[in-house]
Amino acid sequence: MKNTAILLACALLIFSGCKDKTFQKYTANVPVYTDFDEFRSDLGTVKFETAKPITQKGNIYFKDNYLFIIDSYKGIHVVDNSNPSSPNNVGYYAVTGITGMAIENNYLYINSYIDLVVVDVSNINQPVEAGRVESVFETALPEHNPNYPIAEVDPSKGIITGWVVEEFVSETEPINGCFNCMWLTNENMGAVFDASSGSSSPSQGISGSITKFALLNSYLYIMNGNNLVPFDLSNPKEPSTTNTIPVWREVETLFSYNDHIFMGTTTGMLIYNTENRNQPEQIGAINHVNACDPVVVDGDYAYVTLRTGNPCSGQANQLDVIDVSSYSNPVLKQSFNLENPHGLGIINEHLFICDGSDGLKVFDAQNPEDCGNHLIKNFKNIQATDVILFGNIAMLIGDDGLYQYDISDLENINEISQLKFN
Amino acid sequence: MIIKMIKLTLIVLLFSVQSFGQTNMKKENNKYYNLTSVSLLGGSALSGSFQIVNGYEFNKHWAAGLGIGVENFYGQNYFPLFIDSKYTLLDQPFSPFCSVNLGYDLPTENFERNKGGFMGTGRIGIQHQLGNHFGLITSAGYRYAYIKQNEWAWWGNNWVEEIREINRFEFRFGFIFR
Repeated sequence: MKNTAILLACALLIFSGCKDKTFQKYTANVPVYTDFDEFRSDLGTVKFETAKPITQKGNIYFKDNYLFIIDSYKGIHVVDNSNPSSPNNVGYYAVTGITGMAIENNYLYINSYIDLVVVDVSNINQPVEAGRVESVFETALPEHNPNYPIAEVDPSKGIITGWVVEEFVSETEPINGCFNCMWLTNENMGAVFDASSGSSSPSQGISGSITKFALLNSYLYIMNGNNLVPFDLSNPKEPSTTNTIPVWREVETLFSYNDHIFMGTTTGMLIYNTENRNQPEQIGAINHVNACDPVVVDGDYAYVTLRTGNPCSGQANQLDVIDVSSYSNPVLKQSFNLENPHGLGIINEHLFICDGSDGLKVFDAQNPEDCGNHLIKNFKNIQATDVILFGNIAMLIGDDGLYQYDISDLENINEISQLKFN
Repeated sequence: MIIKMIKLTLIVLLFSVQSFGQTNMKKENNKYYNLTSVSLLGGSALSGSFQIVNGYEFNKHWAAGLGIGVENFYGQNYFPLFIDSKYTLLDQPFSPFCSVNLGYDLPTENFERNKGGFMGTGRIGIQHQLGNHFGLITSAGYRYAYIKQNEWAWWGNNWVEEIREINRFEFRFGFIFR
């Protein structure tokens, strides 16, 4: 009897290990890791190099007569724009994993995959790393092949600096198919982040409207996936972050204005106040159909462009004019049909819209609610993406080059230069 | 149509092999045997299995045969086609034995997507001969299968090969005919 009991116990012990296993074998983007220390001492640091040919569009940023064009995941082209009639490509900041930037005073803030890097650019030809906040953007990943899912990611193995498309066997499901993962890619810029938003302080640079960085009152706000991360820049070399604010939408752009942050999301515009700079709070929202939607604000009106396209599953191509005289109660006043609008900017009551294949359009916005009916200029034959308006110059980036316009006379805008991409 | 033909072929094969074995038992002085058994497979899930083996006894201890059966894993039916080898410990009516199956689990449907796969079993048990022509066996063992099935990926543009490693314990009961 005793032997039988022992035998049964042994059998149960053996059989309890009989568990089926299910594997999935599929073609996927398999991560390529780089060791943390190796990355931070080499690939992830800024190195000044001689000018490289600009081959594709990227986010643009302007500060102190220099125009910066981000070469997604690789570096930044530095263009001397002290003479807008003859922009001069003068150098290149090589840094792996960059997709967004902002400059305050002499400090350049960039993302390098999971790190925020502070670079002293007092001497534009000798950038020096001044600080680094490590591992703050843990969802930051390089561009991947969207036809395949992402295989298992193990952040402890290092920083993911690339992908190899190959067969992969996994006991778990792939993490996503990523057809609409805005936190991973951006159709226009192929970026985790975009350049920083328009600002008015002379200490800060200016970017176009397609942005996920925003400088405001010595704080840098960055969208990291679905979280807004505030960085305190009181000590500019050592940004500190102690908080993240979940945003339950797909945020594409940030625009700082009048102590508020305006977020363009795929489903609407959100307004956050920054009374507590470390804890922005949503105070208003307005919904729209699914679309990509950069936003700019001027006075009591916000201008939002909606467009169709893959990353946002867009359903409309239009300009929405929204009354934001009450930030807690934004009201849609008017919509105007457009071709495929991307970035936009406003200066002196004139609205500049990069309307995709329909080029740059300039509208008289003295009467904001009727601005869409007052097209005063249309520069066609440009696949226009984003624009910076500064002083008398409009700097526009398109698929094939950088275009600049003299806007000193808004009724008589002239193209003054082209810097064609190679 | 093709599936039906394969099923029909398997059924015909099953019964023809069985009748062949029984016919030849007399000629070969009961060297041929038929083992018909049912089992319970347990572990991650419970399922049943039915097997028929038609075999030949080479001597008092060693025997081997060809087997076919029906079983079910995760809602899919399979015909296991296998080679069975058996070692009987004692030359007695009541004897322990051990046996091994190696073969292929052939899916009964969804041939386009379900590829089936390797199967194997190891068993120990007791054989009780109740007469010259009839006996009983009971055994316990471990059952393994490696089954592949293609699924259309939920991300929409390619296939995922789903591989199931079946690890089950097995309790089997059967009849031996000579």
